[in-house]
Amino acid sequence: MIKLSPVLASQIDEIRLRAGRPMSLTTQKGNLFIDPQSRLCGPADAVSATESELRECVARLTRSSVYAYEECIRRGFIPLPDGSRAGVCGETVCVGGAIKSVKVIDSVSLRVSRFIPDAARGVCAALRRELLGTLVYSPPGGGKTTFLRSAAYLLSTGREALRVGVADERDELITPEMSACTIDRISGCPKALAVEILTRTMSPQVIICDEIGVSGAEELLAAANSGVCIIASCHGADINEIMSRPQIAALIKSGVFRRAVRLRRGERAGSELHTL
Amino acid sequence: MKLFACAVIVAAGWLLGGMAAESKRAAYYQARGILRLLAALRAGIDYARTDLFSAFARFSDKHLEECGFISALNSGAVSAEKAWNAACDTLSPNVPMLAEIRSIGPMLGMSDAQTQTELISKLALRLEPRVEESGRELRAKASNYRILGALMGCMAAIIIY
Repeated sequence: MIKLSPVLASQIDEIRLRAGRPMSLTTQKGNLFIDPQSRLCGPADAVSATESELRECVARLTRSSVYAYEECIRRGFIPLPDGSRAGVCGETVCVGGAIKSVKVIDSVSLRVSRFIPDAARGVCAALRRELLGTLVYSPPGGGKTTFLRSAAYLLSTGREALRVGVADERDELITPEMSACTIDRISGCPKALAVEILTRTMSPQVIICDEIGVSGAEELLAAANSGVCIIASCHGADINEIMSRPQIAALIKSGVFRRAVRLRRGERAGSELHTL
Repeated sequence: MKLFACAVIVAAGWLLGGMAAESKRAAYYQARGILRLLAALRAGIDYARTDLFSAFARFSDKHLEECGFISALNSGAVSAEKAWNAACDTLSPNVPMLAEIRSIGPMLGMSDAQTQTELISKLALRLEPRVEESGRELRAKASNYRILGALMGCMAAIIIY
């Protein structure tokens, strides 16, 4: 049993378990390794999980029901009830170029979910003045999901709560703390489909979705053209990187996104709102 | 008075025979409960991908509750396999195909939905005729036990009076 100091425990963003390979902790300071005496060490001396421990970990994450998470596991994650998720990878079975199943899971990344209600307060104040499509970007692990969660919370609470639709493909945008929010959520299905259903059936004022990519651009454009404000996130260190992706560049050019929020971690941590 | 006493002894014999048969029926009722549980699991997995612990928690069956099977399933075990094994320990040893019922434990929940439903369906298909057969046997036995009880009562009455 490894015991971590409360200070270190509060800094952990991810716990990465690997069968027969070193366990690591992801923090803002980098990847840390722990030896059996709970001291920081190098990868060679670090504790590692056995295959059976990893199997038990997966059984616990899926409540002993792998079939219930089949589709998610194929896409590399297991959603957890508190809004966090575990990334999984291992030996896959491919048919026709697509992953049919994951035969052996030998790496699990437990991402620590954080609910920081005020993370998007400044941006939400601007949104309340004028509802404009907003693109949130940062490199992976930059806090985009935490930011979107906060935006969903702030826009859907209070006297002037908006009708917020959440296309929550990976089941991670809503946490138990958000039970009093006026949020309509569709989870567990592709974002494109969720955005289409929300637009057609729930008449949202704002749609929030995480990690837009190649698919879903058409549906986001249709939703924006119906008068819905889109708040979405994507990976990217700066706006030039993002503009190099044709689908996202097309959404920006067509006016779906008029503002962008750049998230920074580390010493210059914070969010920076700019017009596109 | 003697005639009344004889009738009471015969009726008591009949009732005792019935009670002896009833105690033999526990295994049959438990097996029927297992069949119902398998059907509930199959439907839950097939239709809503319900996780096993939620399916266990929603299921109820008087006879499986009486023997402690349901509470063992819902006792908060870390895995479905452990919960299933603990629950199988509470079943009567006369439950048909008990070894096969127990053997699905390690596979419970640890594969895709199709494999899970196939596993459960195959067990249910094999178990169903055995349960029906044991039901028929038990009905025949129950009637024999009662008749035997009544005959013993008659013999006792004749000997006494």
